[in-house]
Amino acid sequence: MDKSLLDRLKALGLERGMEKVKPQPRRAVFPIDTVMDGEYIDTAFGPAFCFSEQMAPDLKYGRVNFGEEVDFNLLYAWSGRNSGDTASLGRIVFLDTETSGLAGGSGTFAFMIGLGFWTEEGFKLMQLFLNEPADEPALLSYLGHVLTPFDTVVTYNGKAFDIPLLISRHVLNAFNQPFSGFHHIDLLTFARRIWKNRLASRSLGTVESEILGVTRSQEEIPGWMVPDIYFDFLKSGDARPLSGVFYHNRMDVLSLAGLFKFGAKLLTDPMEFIAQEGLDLIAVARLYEEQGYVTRALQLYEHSLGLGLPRPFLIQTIYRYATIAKRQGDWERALCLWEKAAVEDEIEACVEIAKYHEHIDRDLESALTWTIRAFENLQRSSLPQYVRIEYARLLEHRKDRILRKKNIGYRS
Amino acid sequence: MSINGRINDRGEFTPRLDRLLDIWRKDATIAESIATWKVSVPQKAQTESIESIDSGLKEILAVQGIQRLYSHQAQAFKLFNAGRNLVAATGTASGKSLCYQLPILSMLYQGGQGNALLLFPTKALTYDQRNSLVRMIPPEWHTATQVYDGDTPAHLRASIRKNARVLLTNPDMLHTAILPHHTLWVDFFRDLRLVVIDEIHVYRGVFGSHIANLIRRLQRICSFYGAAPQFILTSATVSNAREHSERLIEAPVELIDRDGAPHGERNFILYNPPVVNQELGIRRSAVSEGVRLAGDLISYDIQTLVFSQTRRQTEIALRYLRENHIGMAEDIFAYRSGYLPSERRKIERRLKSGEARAVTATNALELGVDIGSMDAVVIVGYPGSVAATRQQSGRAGRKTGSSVSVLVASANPVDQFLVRHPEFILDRSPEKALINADNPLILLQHVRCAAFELPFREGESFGRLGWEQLKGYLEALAELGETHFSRDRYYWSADQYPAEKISLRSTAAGTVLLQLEENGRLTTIGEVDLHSAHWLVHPGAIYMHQASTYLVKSLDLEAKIALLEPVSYDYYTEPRQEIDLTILETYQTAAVPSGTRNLGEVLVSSQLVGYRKVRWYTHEHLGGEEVTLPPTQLLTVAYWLALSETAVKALEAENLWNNSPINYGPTWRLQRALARRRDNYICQVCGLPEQGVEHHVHHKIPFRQFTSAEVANQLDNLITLCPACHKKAEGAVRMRSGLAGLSYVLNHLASLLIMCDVSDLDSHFDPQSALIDGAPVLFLYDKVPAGIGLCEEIYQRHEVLMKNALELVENCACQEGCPSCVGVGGENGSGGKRETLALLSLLNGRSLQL
Repeated sequence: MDKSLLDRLKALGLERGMEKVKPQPRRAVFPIDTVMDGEYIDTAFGPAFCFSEQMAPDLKYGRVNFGEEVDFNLLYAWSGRNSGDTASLGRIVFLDTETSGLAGGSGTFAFMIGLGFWTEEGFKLMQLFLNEPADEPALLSYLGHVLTPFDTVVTYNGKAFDIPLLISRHVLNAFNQPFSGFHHIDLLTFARRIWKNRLASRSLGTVESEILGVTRSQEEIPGWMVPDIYFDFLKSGDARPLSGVFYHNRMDVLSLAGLFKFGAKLLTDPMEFIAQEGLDLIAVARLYEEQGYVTRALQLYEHSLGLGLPRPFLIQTIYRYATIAKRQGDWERALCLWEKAAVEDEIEACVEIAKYHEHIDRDLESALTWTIRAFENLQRSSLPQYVRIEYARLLEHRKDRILRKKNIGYRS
Repeated sequence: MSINGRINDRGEFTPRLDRLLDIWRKDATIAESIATWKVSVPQKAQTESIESIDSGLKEILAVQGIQRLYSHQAQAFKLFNAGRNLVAATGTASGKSLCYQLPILSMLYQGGQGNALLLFPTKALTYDQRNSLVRMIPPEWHTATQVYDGDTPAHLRASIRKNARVLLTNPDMLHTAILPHHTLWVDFFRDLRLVVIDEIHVYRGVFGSHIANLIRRLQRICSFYGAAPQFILTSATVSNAREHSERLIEAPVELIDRDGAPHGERNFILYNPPVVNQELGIRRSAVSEGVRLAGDLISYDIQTLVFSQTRRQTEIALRYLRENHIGMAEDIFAYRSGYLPSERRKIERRLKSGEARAVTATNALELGVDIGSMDAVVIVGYPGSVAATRQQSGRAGRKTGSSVSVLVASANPVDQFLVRHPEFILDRSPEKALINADNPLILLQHVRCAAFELPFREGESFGRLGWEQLKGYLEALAELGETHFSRDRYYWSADQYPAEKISLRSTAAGTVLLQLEENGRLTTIGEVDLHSAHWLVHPGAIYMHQASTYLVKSLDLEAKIALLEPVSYDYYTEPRQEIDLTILETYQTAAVPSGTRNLGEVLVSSQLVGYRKVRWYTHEHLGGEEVTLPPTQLLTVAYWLALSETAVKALEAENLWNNSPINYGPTWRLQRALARRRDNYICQVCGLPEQGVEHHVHHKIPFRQFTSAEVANQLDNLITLCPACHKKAEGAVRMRSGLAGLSYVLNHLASLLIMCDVSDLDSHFDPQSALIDGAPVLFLYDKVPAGIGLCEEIYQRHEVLMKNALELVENCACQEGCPSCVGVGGENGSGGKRETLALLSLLNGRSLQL
């Protein structure tokens, strides 16, 4: 039989839908350097292609001015950087990769590594590009060279994706990986913290348009198309469609840098940027609390309550705020907050007030009233049956104890 | 009565089981049906001292109560220290695990050099083994001894990857999670010194062919990191443990098969159900007899496992047992594939704890799962291989005290052959485990995975596969756009994670989910593989699950969902299929007495055309339904036997087919006249009109196949033929019945001789095959696409197969053919025994003398 192995495999039952790719002889009619105005850089492992772009010092990127000085100490602290380190913008590199697949694993490689950093002339973008899979050693070698001056890398979902993938590529090429000792700030985690409740998605695209106010041009290529565009280039040698991928990656890196500046400013002075966004403010307040800036957190809670919040966030905020007040011994504020929640049919708030009257204020009559109020709220609640039973048991217990104390009080 | 037995008149303690065995020996209704009863004498332990072992290690063993090693364990340790690969193929419960545990302990002891990777076929076994290892290992190594499988919580994985020194996992996990992410395991692979593969007898056929390729991938990754691990394998008894090991790891392996472990008295009983119809040779059903024996055991409060050969039989046995032991019904379970893992774990636990008094199971329970040892096992029907028989009966057996396993013979020819030749099971070596790592479909899938894991360099090899062959696969993948050749390497170039879509258990991916609609919600109660779905869950089929019956409402092969509905009908269903076979290439052909034997590639297209409804208990046919599902195609390797023209002529000349006169019933005369009138008194084959003499009227489906003459004589079963054409038609029927009988015998016997499961092979025959110039031909084909080497074996052993087949049919006591030799007349032709015997005589080079 003179059939090709592939025909035979198909006859044996190779999955349907696996069609031969049209053989397109690879002609370097449109090599990458005719499409992108970059250069080949010599490394010990051969040439690596790199496209660089120097941005204007005062680039306006949506709501962010790339030239503006910002204090990013708080953002650093949040990201877990030791407080002893002083943050230096010149040591930060922004990184985003375009890869041959989204699934990860050792068969996925980065064919484009977008890097950005601030220099004295302003923000600089460098896009390292893999012309042939076999050129990977040159690409990684040059990457190591470019990364030398930096000690902090900023990514978007890089903890789960870009950095492990690049480390894996270094292992596969028997290179030492360049990120050991780097501090890593993953802005996806930050975006989740701040905009979880407000934005429909935390993709970089959404944050970019909703928060930074940036819109991409016609050149944009959706991320899911990226691997196939690269594979087509490998087969055809026609680099023209890749310009869209360069654009996509460029925007990702710029947004990353923009988001970093915006996030730093947001944390430094939230009232200036998002004074009307209650949901963002309470998220920032949470972050302040964690970092130990309790007073600043309280201010934000107070302000956001004034703005009015959707019910679940309102209740959440009241409780957080009240808990801090209680811890600080500011009973007056705590009571006032709990009463606000009690109006919203909250059971726990009534219990807190009852506790206060029973233990602090020793006003057993009020304690009883608030316990009964808690009962009433329980009746109205739509909690699951087993929770209600448990609550009722606890409240019953509290009521009995208060009544017992009252009787003892009368007798004595 | 004590817990385990009773004190007899003479004051001796008799265990319950021994009392029951005594009764069986005396009770005529049982004793008469016992064909063979073999008692193996208890064996004492053969041990070696552990003087040569490091003192720290000795202490650990002492804590485990081990003062001396069984001889096979000592031998394993010596071989490991000598740097050899080894396979330990000793009996069930012989302490095989220590053969690899000791090397691991010793590695941990020698300053902590070297990591170990342990592969187990099931999750349950993996956890068992971790527990057992951790009991031996000093606490400081506990965190380095970890299970890594689908159940490992995500937040623990990174730490395991970093710290594991002894990693216990399964092939699927290695395949989908570890190898494709090998760069996360750099430290583990760099220092990998030992790979343990437990229970390699499981890795045969398709599964084994996948595993061999998985090991090629593992070796490739190891050598990338500069490691060259030693292998320790364990196996239940197979006759080619060493050869099989060497095929799996493609390196020399030392065999350890002398078992030094002790065991108590073992009873093996071969039970042949009594004949209930002498003429038809029909015996009482193996299931009902098995249930009866199991019932005795249960009544004596002896925990019993009942193995049967199909999921359906398992359910039937469960139903019968529960009905017969109503008080205990809740402690009797079924266990088989198709149940959800949680359900299975529950039953395993109950077996171990003793709560489950009886479990009916398929071979799903035979594999490795630790359920402790039983006192009694009943095997309903020969499990298709000596190895499986030993594995299943090995579930019964204690270090001391007696145990029993009973094999209840079914009517299958192999079972009946074994009843007459018990030495096949008792003395003969068990089967070979066959694999074909170079099966193109399986190989391709792993070349994909391997290319994903590391680019292939020009000139590289993949196991024993050289560059020239490997290159073909890489080029094929390049044509599909999955690899890209750049400078000197093939790179994976697709946005895919290939391992994810590749099942190690099949050549084609996909399972069908079985779903129930209850209160508008769908619940999944199990699954079957896509191919079996055609026969098991076609629309209208009755599907059984935990003794409940379900009617299949619909089968969506695209969405891979079968919708079921609980029903309590009094019948079950049997599928009917049509098979069409084409020869694509003849690899080899050779003359044999009365024909040729051939080996080649064929395309088998099979299609479900309907099903029969069969009543429970009475097995009465309640009629059939037509259902059409799209055909499935199988490109595979076949052995075929083509009869020569001389042989056909010899058969015709001998006029062997002189059947006794048949009473065609009261309607015959009328129907015959009606048929002739309908056909205008013209022969419907050659067109010859009647000339003075009446034409014959022929039953299209032979009269003997019907139980009712009235039905047989219905007009649409009748056709008018001239005497000459009628003779030809009858000849074809006779030839068909001879071939049907022969294919029945060969299909069953070949699996015994070439050592594979009966279900691995299928047969097809054609009395006038257009493929072989109209000659009668019989095919046996491998059910795995491209084959795993079964038909090559049959082709080689043609002569032995013919000889044994003749002996089987000759020695069968039946008159007209029975399920134990050529099958019952009625399925594919009438009678068939004489025709088959004639054929077999010719094929054995004898003359026709009957």
